[in-house]
Amino acid sequence: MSSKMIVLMSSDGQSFEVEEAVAIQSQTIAHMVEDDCVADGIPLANVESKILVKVIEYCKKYHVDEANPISEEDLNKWDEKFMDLEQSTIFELILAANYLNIKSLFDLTCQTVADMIKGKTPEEIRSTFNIENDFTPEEEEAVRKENQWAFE
Amino acid sequence: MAWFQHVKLYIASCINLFTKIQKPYLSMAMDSKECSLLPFELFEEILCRVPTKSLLRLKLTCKRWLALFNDKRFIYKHLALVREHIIRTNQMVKIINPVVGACSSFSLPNKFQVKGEIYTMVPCDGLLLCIFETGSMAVWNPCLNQVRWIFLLNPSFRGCSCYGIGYDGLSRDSYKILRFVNGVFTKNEYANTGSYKPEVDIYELKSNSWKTFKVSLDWHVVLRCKGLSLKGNMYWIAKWNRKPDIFIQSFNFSTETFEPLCSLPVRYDVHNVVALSAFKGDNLSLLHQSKETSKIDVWVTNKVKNGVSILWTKLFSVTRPDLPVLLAFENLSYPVHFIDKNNRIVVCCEEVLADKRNVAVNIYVIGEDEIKRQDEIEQHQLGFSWPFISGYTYLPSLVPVPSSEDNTPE
Repeated sequence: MSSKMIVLMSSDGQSFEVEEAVAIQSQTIAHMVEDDCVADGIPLANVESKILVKVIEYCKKYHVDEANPISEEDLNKWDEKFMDLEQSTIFELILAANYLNIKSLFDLTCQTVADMIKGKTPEEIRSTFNIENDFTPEEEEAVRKENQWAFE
Repeated sequence: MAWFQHVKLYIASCINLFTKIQKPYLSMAMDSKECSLLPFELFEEILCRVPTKSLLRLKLTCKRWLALFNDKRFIYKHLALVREHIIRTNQMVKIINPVVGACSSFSLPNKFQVKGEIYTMVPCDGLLLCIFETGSMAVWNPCLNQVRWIFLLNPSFRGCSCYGIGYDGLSRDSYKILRFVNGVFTKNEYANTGSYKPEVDIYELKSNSWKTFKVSLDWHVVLRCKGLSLKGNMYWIAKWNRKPDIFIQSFNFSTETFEPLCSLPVRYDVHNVVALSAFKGDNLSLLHQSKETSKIDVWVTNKVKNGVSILWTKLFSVTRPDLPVLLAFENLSYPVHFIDKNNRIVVCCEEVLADKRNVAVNIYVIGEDEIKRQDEIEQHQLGFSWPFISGYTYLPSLVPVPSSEDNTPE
């Protein structure tokens, strides 16, 4: 059975041929396919090839094949390995998943960063995300007092 | 074909527009440290998945984050993703994340010691309606350390009263409290009238006011049922006074009326454990354990919505020799449970230890083919388990305790 292929074009000019069934996990692409404007390929002006490769890898894995179902446990393990990336790459994946409207990838990437943030102190967060501390010492003390449970 | 080309152009222009918006952020990534490249709205998506305790700590990151964590829209978005915990208030506050096995303890708010022990609590959106031994009433958010004392209309016979907390409408800006006297204590079940007209009191937090009306109630809430607040309404297991049927009674805070919802999927027996809880945020769940066989059944409903019939389906049944007996004796605390995201039940119950003199409070995670016991929460002497319930399900949330519009001091 021949599957319909479509071409995705990254912002840096690379082309990727993908099965339509795999690609339409992206709601954005799915709408374009519905509106039948994919003949010349789909330009993805804000997704770099480096990121598009990862997105396609994800969509291929999550394209459910009834004949070879994957257990949830195995998928979770795969997710963990898949998300073993540099922070900046993860952020770009969040942007791409958001733009391409792939809910499960968006959830996974956001949750990964949320898990990273979970154990950090405000100082560590500020340093990671380049945020300035605009509290005075008095203001800081007031917030700390109000939320005793969190600081124990 | 002209319309089709318009659509193609429109999509292309949307993409271009998006690129124009994205470019400044992408270029920022080149200059500054790796991670400032997300627009704040996407940062919000990440932050709403961070557990409450961490978010509280991160209030100190910067003023913009502090403002976000105080923003109503974000608060409820975050609430929708919070996992269930269990809370106990036996001398200290213990908030337990059963799935992970983490437990934090801290002291009760100062005034609580003066008001006596907490007799019962009803959780709603991370707010806890607390009723004290002395009859005092407060709404409390332990995460934010906020307490609001509710002035009482008249002395309450707290032992005979049922309490509820919910909200009017979907915008959740009008939380209300319900109190009514539960018939079974004031009227002999077998008396010939079969109905009574107690006062039903409703308190609105926003306007800091009570209103009372008398309603004819020909039913009563069954013993040991503390009520469940779900999507703004209250639910109890109730029995008609004049017939043996058991059903789910509800109180709608928008219409301020009692509405019988549906019957139970199991035959009710006062010796069996029958407990109500939420399921997936919109549905009811029922935990049932037979005293005779120790078999545990978990039933769930479809979405609870106005005008839609409620149907029960069995989530699973489990019989195995190592199943805990959730209520071995009447003088132990009633178990409390919730269903986790993997459809396993997480149940907190009291079990008598081998020495037959002490009781341990344990948490079990039970699935169709698995059972796991978490570390013991605490131990105490057998004889008197106060307040007769093992704990309450609790969503640690950022929802502030509503203040009254007239800013009446406590």
